[in-house]
Parts: sequence; structure tokens; C-alpha cells
Amino acid sequence: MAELVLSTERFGEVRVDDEKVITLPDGLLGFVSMTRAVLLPVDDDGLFFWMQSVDDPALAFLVLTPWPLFPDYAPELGEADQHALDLDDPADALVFCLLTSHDRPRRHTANLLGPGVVNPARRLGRQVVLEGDHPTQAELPAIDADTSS
Amino acid sequence: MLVLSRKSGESIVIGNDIVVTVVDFRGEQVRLGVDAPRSVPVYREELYAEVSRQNRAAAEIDPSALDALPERRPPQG
Repeated sequence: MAELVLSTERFGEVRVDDEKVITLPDGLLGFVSMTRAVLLPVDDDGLFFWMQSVDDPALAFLVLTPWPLFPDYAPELGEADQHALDLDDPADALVFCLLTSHDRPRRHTANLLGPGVVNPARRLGRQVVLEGDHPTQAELPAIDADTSS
Repeated sequence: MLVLSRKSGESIVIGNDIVVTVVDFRGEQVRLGVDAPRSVPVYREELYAEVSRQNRAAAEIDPSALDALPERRPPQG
């Protein structure tokens, strides 16, 4: 295990265990050079993470674990994606949705069409484009304080 | 752009290992079969473009975004 020190534009110097680096062989769509990333938890909820590029200090995305906010979300991983991620069981995958900020009014949306999917055992990830009708700008619903714990 | 005429059932070969076959015509739709190595992602162009565009917008996000997330619960205590 070795420590990786990243200089990032948004978060300054970030130290991460190099075993936490996720390899994205195909990058993200439109960002093919983003082939290595780390997930930096925003808080203890495990709901939001910054996905910071290892190689580009300026490149980071705010991502969301979808199910607490989108309980009906049911992304189906195609065979090619499953193979590319070396996943025996799609249920093992971690799924993250990229968030976009909007102004006037200030709000955020989640991309449910193109989630990031990670095989945690291999630290291998890719952005998949799902079949079916999924929005790229799903409004974030508020968490019901009574059901979150 | 290279334009090729193909009949139903005919194919084109791209490189050494990608074969695109015209499977069927239905009205205004053409059904294509793509035989490619599983390491080669294949997308519908408009979905690829939409996700790419959304990614570019998402990359503009800055840390102040977190303050504006109404979904974040207030600190306990």
C-alpha cells in the first residue's frame, strides 16, 4: 500500500491510499482521458462523493449513490458492460450518478441514463449508457427525514 | 463520410473485428446487428451525445454545490 498525493483544483492536496484508485479504461463519455479516479466521500452518509480525476487536477464530478433518493431506479447492466467490468454478479456493482448544478433557480439534477458503475473488488469502473427510458436530468427529491437514518 | 449501399443481410467490416450487418428494414427504421469485441463499447449516437453533453455540464460543478443541496440533512445534535 502506498499513499498517493493528488494536487486538486477544488480540494487542494488530497492524500489517498493508491489501492483506492479506480481504473476507468474507457474514461467517461466525452472525457476519455479520465482513466483513473478516486472517490472522496463528502460526508459519513455515503450518499455523495467527489469523483476526482487522478491525472487532471481540474477534473472532478459530484456523484450520488442513487437509491436513497431514487428508490425505484433499476439500472440493468448489459452483458458487454458486465464483461468489461469483470463482474460475475451485477449485484456486486457500485453505482454512482453524476450530478449537474443548475442556476436560476439553484438546483441539482442526477444523470440516471449514464451512471458510473464500479466493480469494487477489481477497482474497475466505466460509464454505461443504459437501455430504456432514463433521464439525464432527474431532479433530486428531498430526503424524507422520517425514513432516513 | 464513406457511404455504402447494403441490402438486408449484407454487412460491412470495420477493422479486423467489427462487423455491422443490416438485419431488417421496418418502415423508416433499419435494424443493425453489430458484432464487435466486448471491449468495444457500442452506443446509439444520440444517447452517447446526450450523456457526453451532460458530463460536460456536470464537470462544471464546484464545491459550493454542496451548500445548495437541499437533500443533505442538517448535522445531528
